[in-house]
Amino acid sequence: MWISGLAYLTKAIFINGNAIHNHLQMQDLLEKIYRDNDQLAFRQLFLQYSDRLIVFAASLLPSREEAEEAVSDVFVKIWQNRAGLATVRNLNTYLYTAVRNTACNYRISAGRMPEILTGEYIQVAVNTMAASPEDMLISKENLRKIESAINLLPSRCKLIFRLVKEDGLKYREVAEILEVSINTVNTQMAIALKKLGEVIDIRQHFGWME
Amino acid sequence: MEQHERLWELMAKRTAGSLSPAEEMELEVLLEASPEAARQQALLDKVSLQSTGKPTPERKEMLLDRIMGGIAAGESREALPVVSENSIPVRRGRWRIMAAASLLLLLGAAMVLYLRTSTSTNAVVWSTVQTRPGSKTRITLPDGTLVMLNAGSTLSYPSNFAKSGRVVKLTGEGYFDVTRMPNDPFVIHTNTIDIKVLGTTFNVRAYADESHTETALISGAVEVTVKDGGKQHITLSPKQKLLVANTITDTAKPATTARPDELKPLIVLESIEKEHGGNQIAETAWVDNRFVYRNETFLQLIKRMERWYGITIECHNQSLLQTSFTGNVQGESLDQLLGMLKQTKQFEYNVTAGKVFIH
Repeated sequence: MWISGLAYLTKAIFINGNAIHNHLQMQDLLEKIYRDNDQLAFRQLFLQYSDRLIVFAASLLPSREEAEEAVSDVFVKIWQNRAGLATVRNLNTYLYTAVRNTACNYRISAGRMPEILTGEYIQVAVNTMAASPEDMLISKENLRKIESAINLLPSRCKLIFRLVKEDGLKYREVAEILEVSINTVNTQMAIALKKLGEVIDIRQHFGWME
Repeated sequence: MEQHERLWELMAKRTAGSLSPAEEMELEVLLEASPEAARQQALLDKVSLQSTGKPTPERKEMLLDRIMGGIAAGESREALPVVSENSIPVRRGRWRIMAAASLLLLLGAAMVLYLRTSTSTNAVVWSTVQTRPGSKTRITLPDGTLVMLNAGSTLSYPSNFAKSGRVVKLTGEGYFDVTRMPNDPFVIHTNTIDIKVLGTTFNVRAYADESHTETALISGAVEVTVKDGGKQHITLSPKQKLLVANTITDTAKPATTARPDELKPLIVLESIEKEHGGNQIAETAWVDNRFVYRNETFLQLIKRMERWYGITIECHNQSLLQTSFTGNVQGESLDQLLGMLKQTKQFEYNVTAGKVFIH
């Protein structure tokens, strides 16, 4: 596979700034949970992940209430089977996959086929981490166009793009969670980048129009 | 054109940080050839995404409390063979999760889901019977208790039902004829109240989207425990009914839709009145397939009709929503019912794409 063994050359523009820092903290947190039965650590784990997981579940279930319920169910089970956390190698794929399976079971119980839905509305802003002062001048018009184009992407494409850009997941993590090939993730990302790029009017780059 | 597709493919790989040195050079050449795309992509890189719909910190605390509650219930269940009465959170999701369709009692047009849950090897397995809007069903529990389940309702009972105390969970509406067992009380958990009975006939209406949970006693005696508000106990006598507000559990509802029935006090005890000119009572009319409405606003009626007929109703007539209606029908179609309602206050309706629109 082309993805394996290759160094990550480009800067992690899309990943939340403290991703690496978090990794060690997360290991620490997990140990506290499965070794010491630490409920406070468990609460922290929930608070760290609930936003992302609920928004993810909202792409698989028709109501926000159900999305919250699915994530709550996952956390109840995580606590009940907390000994199993010792064997977790990738917390991202572990949590997202658990949410996905729970959501699928909800759909099947309700007599429906599991499917990817449009999900929550996505807002866009200039990424202050990556932007230079000139970039802060990206015109409002362009931001508005990007935002509307993102929300109009086909639901699977939108979800994949969001998982990569907003949640900072790696392609192979997204592939594993959604049970698709890495090639599919790459193709969907390419479609998203193309569609979103096309709506940008570069003449408005510096926001003269405002 | 094909070159363009390759550009996006490489851009996607670049986002993943998985470009090989050769691909990187290839991409550079492609980007030089189409400077506009290059600038668009550079701009796109600078944008960050922020999904709406994330829970507020308060909401997260509430979810955490529910999770911890679920954990506590699970652990006490493992420790004690008897299901403790107060620690069972009524949560639809948990029973629905682990589905394995199994034998079911199917009556009439009822669409019933029978699900088994199994959280861990020694945990109690809950069986769930669920009715869709537009259908009812009849269930006989292992102790011989008869339950009629109204549309859009869920009833669950544990695998060791008869052995470890008779306990069921209900959302929606059910009519219970409980087998008399003097030493073995029968307990119904709803979101708002717990009902303890020995042997009796009564109706419970506990729909999540209604303002109150109603317990109407036909014969015998029941004891109702209000979960919030200091665990008040109220004993009902025959021909009495108790209304308990669902306010605390009801978080999803927008506060702007003030309905007349929400002005009722939190707990009301009143006597069941016979229907005008007859011996029947409205609270259990649904068991005989009668749709009875007494002084109910159209807004309330819409919800009940949606459940009763399993359809969606959209009302664009604001003045109609607050108009009250009284009447009853038995085994009539929605068309006939709407026809009757029209006689009280004139309105127009049509059916498009499986939806009823009222003007």
